[in-house]
Amino acid sequence: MRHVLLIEDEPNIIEALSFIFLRDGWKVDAHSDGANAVATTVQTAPNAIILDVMLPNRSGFDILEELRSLPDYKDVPILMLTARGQTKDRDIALARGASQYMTKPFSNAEVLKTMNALVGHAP
Amino acid sequence: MERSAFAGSRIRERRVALGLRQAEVALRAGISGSYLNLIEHNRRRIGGKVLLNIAAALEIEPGALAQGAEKRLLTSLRDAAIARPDVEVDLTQTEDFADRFTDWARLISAQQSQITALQQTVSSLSDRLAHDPFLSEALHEVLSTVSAIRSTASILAEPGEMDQNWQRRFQTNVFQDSIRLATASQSLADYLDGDSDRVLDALSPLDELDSLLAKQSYHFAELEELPDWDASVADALLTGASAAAKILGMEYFQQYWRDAQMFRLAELGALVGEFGLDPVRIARQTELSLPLIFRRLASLPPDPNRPPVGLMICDGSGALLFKQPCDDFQAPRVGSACALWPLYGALTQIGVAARHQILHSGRPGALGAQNLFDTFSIAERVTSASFESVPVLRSTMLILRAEKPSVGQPLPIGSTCRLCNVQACPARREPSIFTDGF
Repeated sequence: MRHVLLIEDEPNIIEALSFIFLRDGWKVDAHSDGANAVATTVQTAPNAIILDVMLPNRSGFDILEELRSLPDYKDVPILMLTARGQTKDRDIALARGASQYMTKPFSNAEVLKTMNALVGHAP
Repeated sequence: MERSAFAGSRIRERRVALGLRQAEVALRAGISGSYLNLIEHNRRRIGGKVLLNIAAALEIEPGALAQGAEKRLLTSLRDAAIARPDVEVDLTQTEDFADRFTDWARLISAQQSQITALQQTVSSLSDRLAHDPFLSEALHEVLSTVSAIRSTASILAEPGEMDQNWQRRFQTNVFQDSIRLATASQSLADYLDGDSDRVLDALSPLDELDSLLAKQSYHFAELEELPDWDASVADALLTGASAAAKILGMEYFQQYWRDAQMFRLAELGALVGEFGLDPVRIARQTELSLPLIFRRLASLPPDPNRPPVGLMICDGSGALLFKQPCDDFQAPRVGSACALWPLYGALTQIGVAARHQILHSGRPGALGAQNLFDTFSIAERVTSASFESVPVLRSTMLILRAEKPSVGQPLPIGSTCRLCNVQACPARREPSIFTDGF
């Protein structure tokens, strides 16, 4: 089963993304704080992650790096979703192991399409 | 050697200033009036004996005829060419070009000045966006809220029926987010409009103090003759400053006053009159510490006949604590300065004075002899060494315009990587906004 964890501090973005993923048949979990995001990931065991860069208490880049250091999350698709559109940030995200990088404001359809492609799910 | 006909304007200026007629000067110089007329209108090149005769007739040094505005124009044209290495320009023809097409040359020079000014504005704004936490957070808030609205609105706009509960929820979310967006946008607009001067002029308490000191040309007559330290005098100098800038300012003025007590302005002025701005000779004469002499030279009262003096001070981490520019040799507004500054080199040998001639080549279009500087640097321990703590270090660098090129090659340095166009630099930390884009 396709299972996504949304690590995002904007409650209304979580709600909108949850809606489109649930409607598409995904299982959805959400987490809104940077501090224990890795623990939540391990606990919920998703097979795809959407990760915001600017989170309270801990940067999404650091969370990404820690996740990639865990054997179980070395290859799990992670889409970085952020309001910071600078080339430097994209380079950092990809260098630390992000599968894809998308800037806000994003298109729902694009996010869904990207995530399905990342988990190898045919439309 | 033939000199530029470009000196014609200067010849005319000088003749008019002396109240002489063309025919009179032509007669004295042994040339015809019509020929002098052509020279004055930059229509004929002159050199050798003719130039010497005209200079003698005008009672002026021949070399002075090619100095001033014309020289600046030629430098500006060369800078314009250097700034665009992708366009092939024969620099040996610069003078010839300025001779033949003076108006076009002036236009290129004016455009070059405008480009340089715009680059400075762009770099300030770029730094501002990259380093201002409020601006960064406000933009993040706006973009996040817009994302939430877009994402939710696109669901609501989809054709077909939607569960009533979800629909109500999304409508409420959009409404709430629209209020949030309005507030965030207003906050951002207020910040940029109401505080626009501060956006560019004051990034931190240190910048605020820098700005205040620069307005007074780094000289404070009130403190020079103050027999005893009086905080109210310093406080008056800091009127209008923020609380944080006042704390920094008070420390600065106390140091200034202590320096003035140890090295009186009258004595300093006399030694500068005798030795010029030469810290080495002044140190030999006074046996005062070099950092003190550097600071005192940098606090001399403004004098248009004296070359400018710059002073940079950093701590052991390389953070700049004081940034007094010397013409184009300026410290970056934000971020770290060029790692090749002798100021930092001095930190590797505490107590060892170092003298360097440097070529400041940070900004495109700013190359040339005018960016040759002499620097004098020394680092010192502010706290004594112990096993319990890391000593606090200060490095001080005096910057003077070079009077003449030194025998060896000058050290090439810049301002900061973001604003420097030197590509093959071993100290480069990040790409330049001028050569690598944003």
